[in-house]
Amino acid sequence: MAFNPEHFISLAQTLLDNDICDGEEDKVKFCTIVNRSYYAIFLRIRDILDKEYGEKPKEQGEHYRIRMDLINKMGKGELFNTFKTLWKERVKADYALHTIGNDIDHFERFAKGSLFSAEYLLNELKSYRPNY
Amino acid sequence: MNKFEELPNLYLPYIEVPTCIVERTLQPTIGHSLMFRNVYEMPNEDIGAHINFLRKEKRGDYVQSTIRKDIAVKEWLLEDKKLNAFSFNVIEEIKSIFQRTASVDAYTIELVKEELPGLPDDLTMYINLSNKVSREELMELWKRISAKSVETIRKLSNNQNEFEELLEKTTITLQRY
Repeated sequence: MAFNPEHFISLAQTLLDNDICDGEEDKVKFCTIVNRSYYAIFLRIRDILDKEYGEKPKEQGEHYRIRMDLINKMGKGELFNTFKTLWKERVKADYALHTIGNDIDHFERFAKGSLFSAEYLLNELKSYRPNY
Repeated sequence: MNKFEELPNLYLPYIEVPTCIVERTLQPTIGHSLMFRNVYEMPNEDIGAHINFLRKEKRGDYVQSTIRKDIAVKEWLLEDKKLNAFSFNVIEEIKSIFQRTASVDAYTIELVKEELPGLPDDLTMYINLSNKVSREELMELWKRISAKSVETIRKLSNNQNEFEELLEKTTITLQRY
């Protein structure tokens, strides 16, 4: 069963709205929000590519394929940079925390920005129709 | 004729590194004229306030690290003509879009050679807009700029491989300050 991308967004929002962690754990919570925000859009685009274009998920290089096919197949160049930024934010949140900042506030702003971009992208992709 | 061949050539007849990067990296010492980052458009009072803050806090290290970052970008742009043409053309497009957008009263464009673990180097253009621009407007501007940047990359590419290579090397990020 495939996950509904909207549930990733609602989980991210729930994490943001609830004060469930302290200190360093809070930073991990904000990174999780970024991670879930990115995957919501990744899964949505992958689903469109599968259903509308018959592009099946591959074993390797999926993130690259999804980014490129957003332009090459779906013709959505106007969303490319927002999506690529979200992907880079997810890489920073998962592997390069030092690039986000030192304070909790930096992490919180970072997470809120990613979640807003993801909500925006998801909304834009909701009405997506292929232009064959 | 394929979609790459019929497009005009956007290469510049000379190398055009963004002016402020050239000026900053040529500065022998940290002086009044040194901006804290490679800013294209920003109200003077904001620049002055930031420089005063850095002086007061004795943040020479921050300024030095900014110069190092500028040098890295400059060297990269001098070496990679395609990337250079991309940044020059896209900045011109961005300026033109902002001039036609009433709510954009101030903005900065910062070029960064971003190095993240496991990823190839990426020329990231951070565009900061004032809070007068709503978040919805920000996203609409991001769409227009993104579409222009993809179009520019296509014009600069001779084939699909080059197109994807340049897409992978560049990112434009909009945010509010």
